[in-house]
Amino acid sequence: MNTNHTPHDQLDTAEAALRELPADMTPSPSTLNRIAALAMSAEALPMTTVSTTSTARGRRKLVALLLTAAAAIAVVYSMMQMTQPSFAFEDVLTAVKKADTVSYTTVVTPKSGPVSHLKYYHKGSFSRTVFPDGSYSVLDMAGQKMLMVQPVLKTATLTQLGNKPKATQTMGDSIIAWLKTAETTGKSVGEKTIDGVRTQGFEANFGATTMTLWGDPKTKLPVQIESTIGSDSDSFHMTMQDFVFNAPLDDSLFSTEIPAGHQAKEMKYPALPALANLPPEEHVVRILKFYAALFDGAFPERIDGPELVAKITSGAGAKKVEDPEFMKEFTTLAGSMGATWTFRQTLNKFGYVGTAKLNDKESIVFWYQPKDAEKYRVVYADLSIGDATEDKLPKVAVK
Amino acid sequence: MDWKTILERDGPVAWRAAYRLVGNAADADDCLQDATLAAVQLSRREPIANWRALLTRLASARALDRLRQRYRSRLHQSEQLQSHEFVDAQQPVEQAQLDELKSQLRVALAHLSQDQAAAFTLCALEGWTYADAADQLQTPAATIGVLVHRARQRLRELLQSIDPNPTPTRSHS
Repeated sequence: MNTNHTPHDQLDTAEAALRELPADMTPSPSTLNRIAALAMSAEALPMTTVSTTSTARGRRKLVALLLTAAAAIAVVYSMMQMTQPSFAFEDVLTAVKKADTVSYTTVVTPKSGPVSHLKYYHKGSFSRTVFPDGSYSVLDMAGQKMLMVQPVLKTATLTQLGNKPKATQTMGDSIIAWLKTAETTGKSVGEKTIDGVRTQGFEANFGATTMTLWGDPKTKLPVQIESTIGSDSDSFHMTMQDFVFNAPLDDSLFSTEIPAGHQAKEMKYPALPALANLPPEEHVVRILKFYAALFDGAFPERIDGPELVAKITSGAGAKKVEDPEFMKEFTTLAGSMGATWTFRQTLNKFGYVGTAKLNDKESIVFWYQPKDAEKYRVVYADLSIGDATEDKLPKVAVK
Repeated sequence: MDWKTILERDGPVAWRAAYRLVGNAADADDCLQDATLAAVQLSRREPIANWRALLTRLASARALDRLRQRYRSRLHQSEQLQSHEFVDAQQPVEQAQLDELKSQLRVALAHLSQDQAAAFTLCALEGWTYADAADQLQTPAATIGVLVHRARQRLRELLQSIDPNPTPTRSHS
């Protein structure tokens, strides 16, 4: 090796100079902790998810899984009411809202080849998601429909969403949704250079989701958004990167016409007015019943947020995800998930504890206090609904 | 897997290997992160005997990828191999020249073949034996020796082609 001799030419001098590093030049403990947490999250992802990437059939399963998750998340977002006040990185929110178009790539880790990259486009009330095998979905919020095209299978599924969202969503809402659901105000986490741009970071938390947004101080726009979603064994890391704002995007990208040569399928989303009129406890019962059937009577850690979608899709497995009946049921459930997402904004003294198991008649798992009511509306672990006084509620902090 | 322990024990060595190449902490952080995630995948397929070596090899590879990304496009633009790193105008001239030389070596490394760059980085910069590098790169030790030798030859050529009279200090403007 050429490590300890006297430099005698330009290369040796350069080598020696590169080898010399101050002893205190090391990664920060927080960096090591963050990466360790990321590794644990990546390791916790089921092996089946990773191994299915090696075959065409496996890829289709994974794509179906991703499509389902993306569809559910899209519907959840569509139902959200953006009523929360803006928080610390309001400038970023404002800048994103003003943008006419945006495209970006989402990388889901662990990185298992190109399947981990998804490309998103947003324009007005349209969005398009492109999956690694060329499959794509187009969501038309104003037109209340969603098209999923799978070139490999030569199928195209058009889903009628059933009703118009209360407020037509604009492009970038899916990004803003991530930001607006944060429970903290985006504490500053320093600076980082990304693709030559010196960015400023904000960290925010939503339930079990930790998000770091790296924004360009000059444009106020995001350069990269890193999220760790979920804190249990199904958590995963997601990075939104390669943002391009206000570039012209052709309308054909957002067409919901069935492409030539594809077998057309149609799905109808159940009428949302019926769902919208359900009281909160009914939504919760629907979610808990569905979840408990998949997880041997257990309840989820949370009843809102994208981590719940991820947990259900991974728990269901690729086989069920390919079952049209299951997908239909799951898609309708997304409406209830969207409703629960808004609970924290609208309900008085809302709470949920998912530690009980199905059929436990004594345990209250969900509660809230209706307006002007003395008692709380509650859901028991046997999924019955009732009323209870505050002293009967689980001994946790009441929100 | 106790990733916290692994990273506390072996992460700094891997990070420093990446830092030597990329020259800044933010990129070194990213290299270590990518290396760790790749290690997660590897550990699912086979037992890992030497975490430090694995993380160092992977972090170095990610750092070399970044160097290629950083410098190759510049070469295409200018058709002339030239260091574009800037050094602080207030530094002593000697230190500034050393920094310039380091930058030139980074540029040159970006133009080696992957095999040569990997072998040179691990053996010449990290001080690995040919046997250790052979084990990690799954290449015979003799081949590693050849790769390092050829890497040095090529680096010398490349360094000579870089601006022969580099300005010791450059302004930021």
